[in-house]
Amino acid sequence: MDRFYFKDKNDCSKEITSYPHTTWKGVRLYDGDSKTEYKSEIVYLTPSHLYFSSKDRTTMNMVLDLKCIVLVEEEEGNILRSSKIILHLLPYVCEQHSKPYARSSASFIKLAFSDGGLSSFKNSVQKALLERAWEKNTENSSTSHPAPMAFRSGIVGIERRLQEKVENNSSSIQVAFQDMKNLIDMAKDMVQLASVMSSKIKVCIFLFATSDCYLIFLSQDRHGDISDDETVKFKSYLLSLGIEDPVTRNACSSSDVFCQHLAKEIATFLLTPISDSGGFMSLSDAYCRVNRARGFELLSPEDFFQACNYMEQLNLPLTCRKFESGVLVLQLQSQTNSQLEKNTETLLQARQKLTAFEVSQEFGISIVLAAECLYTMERKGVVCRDDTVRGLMFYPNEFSSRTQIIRASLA
Amino acid sequence: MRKRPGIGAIHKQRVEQERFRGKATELQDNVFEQMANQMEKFRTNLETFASKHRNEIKKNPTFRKQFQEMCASIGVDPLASSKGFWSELLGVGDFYYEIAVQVIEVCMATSQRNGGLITLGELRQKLIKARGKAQHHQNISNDDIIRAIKKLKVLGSGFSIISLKDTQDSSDVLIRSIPGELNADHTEVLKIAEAQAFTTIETLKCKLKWDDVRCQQILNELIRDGVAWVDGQSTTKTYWFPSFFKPLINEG
Repeated sequence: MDRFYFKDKNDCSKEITSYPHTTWKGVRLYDGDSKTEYKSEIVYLTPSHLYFSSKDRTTMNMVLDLKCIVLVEEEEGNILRSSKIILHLLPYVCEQHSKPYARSSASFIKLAFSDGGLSSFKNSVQKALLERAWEKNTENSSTSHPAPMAFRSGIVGIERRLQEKVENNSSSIQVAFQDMKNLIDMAKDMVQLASVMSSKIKVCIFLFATSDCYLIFLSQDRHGDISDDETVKFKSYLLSLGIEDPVTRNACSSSDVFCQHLAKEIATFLLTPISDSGGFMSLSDAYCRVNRARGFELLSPEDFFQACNYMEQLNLPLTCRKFESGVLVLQLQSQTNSQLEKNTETLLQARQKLTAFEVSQEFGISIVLAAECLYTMERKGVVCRDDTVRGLMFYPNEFSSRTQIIRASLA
Repeated sequence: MRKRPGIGAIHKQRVEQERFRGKATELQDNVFEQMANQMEKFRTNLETFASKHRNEIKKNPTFRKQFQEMCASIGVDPLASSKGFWSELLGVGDFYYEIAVQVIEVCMATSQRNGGLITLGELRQKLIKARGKAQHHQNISNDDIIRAIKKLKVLGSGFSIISLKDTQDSSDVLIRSIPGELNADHTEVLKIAEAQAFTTIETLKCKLKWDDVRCQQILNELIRDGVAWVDGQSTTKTYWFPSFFKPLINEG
């Protein structure tokens, strides 16, 4: 109750009489949980103050500034105790007034309403707190009170600071997107804001997920995270790997030059993703990735294909390869067929018999690819097939090696 | 004030803590909601900008990069313009390339789950969802998607359209984004079948968490290649792999 102070009745009568409908009688005050001598007060609510008057005090009213109030709560009563209103207050702010209580350890007061009106009081105070009429007053007289609320802390302080931040962001978004020029000027801030927002929302989601609010949160439409949609997430990932300065047709003197530059750009950009994905990438996947990284400078599939065909000529680390089936892939130069064939041959010597499945398992490639490798080796005469009901098996080509031995012995 | 001993005090403390926690969640709730609203605003703004000022954005390289970064962190598709008169008439131009890029993207994003097989209906649904909320982003017909995919023909036969039946129903048209050469699904099936030399669709669905279409498609291909045989005698079809027979006999 140390937040209360005394004020002359005459000084406040004008303010009180202008709000005649917000009066409650028979109010008992508690400092924290303990009863006080103020048993039967008349309470007046104005937009920025609570006045407490009593017959016992002839000249003075007690005043509580609404700006001190953090939270209004109702305490349920039972048979033995009446229901009460709890007002949580901000920490003690020293001001030059005489006070009923110089010091108090309680951070809240309670009010009991013997003549009723508890809920109407609660609603009115909450409404007044929302309107914050006192802020408008201090704005006008800010010169006379230099920063009276500078060291606000506590829950309301936090609340307000958060609110301020949100409002700041809102207004800057509004300004930035007014027209093109503004957005360009503010681009840097906006980029930052965007990433901060999305990361914060992710944190929020994490908090929600760990608290009991999880269910409530799930029931809300999840518009929080940039999206729970896998495609949107994937797109964000692709977009974030940008190509700084994409090659454009206009910037190049001829179509040939354009394709060559493009080939280099594609090779540089895709080298890591292709190495990561086992040395192959279908041309369509590559097309998508490159275009996403280029942003607005879309390539046509034709240009892309042309550029890929230049790769071998330019000695780039990637090459374009066409399978028998007509499928086109980009492939690491280092991981050419001959390498795979060599490995397969070694494996065959060890096992004496191979199926496409075994090759695919051994080298982590698809069955179709494994089979194709075996067919090529067959054409070269390295292996022989045995086509049985159990499937297609490949053996080392003894015919050729034996013939060579026979020939050597004949000669 | 004197510190209160006893159960009452403890109880009170607990109630107080409870109240603080309540307040904290309330605050969090508020902040989250406001943030989400802002994000939504940011997103719609970015979307409008991307389609309205596209050419200006293209011209300015530093800004282009920044714009793309924004799109990346907010989840906006910068390539979501509406269909123009010429692109519809001639089927050329950026619009269909855009759709093509978006189509591949959806396929790549979902391929972990579906092995590169997706129905046209699902594809369209996901594509529209990823494009954004504005009306002109939503006007993508099945025909647009098919056209866009056909534009990709020059990139090889890796991206193909499979009609399951001879209908135009979008749930009967499959888009295949992973060609056999790059598909590890066959190996997965064989690995599962290896122990018993046979398998069923149910087993595959259960062990690999695939859907019906994916299992059936892979098995059909294995049958086509002569790797698997079908046994239709029992109530559920079983698929046998003769290449795995021999080791079993030897062990027996």
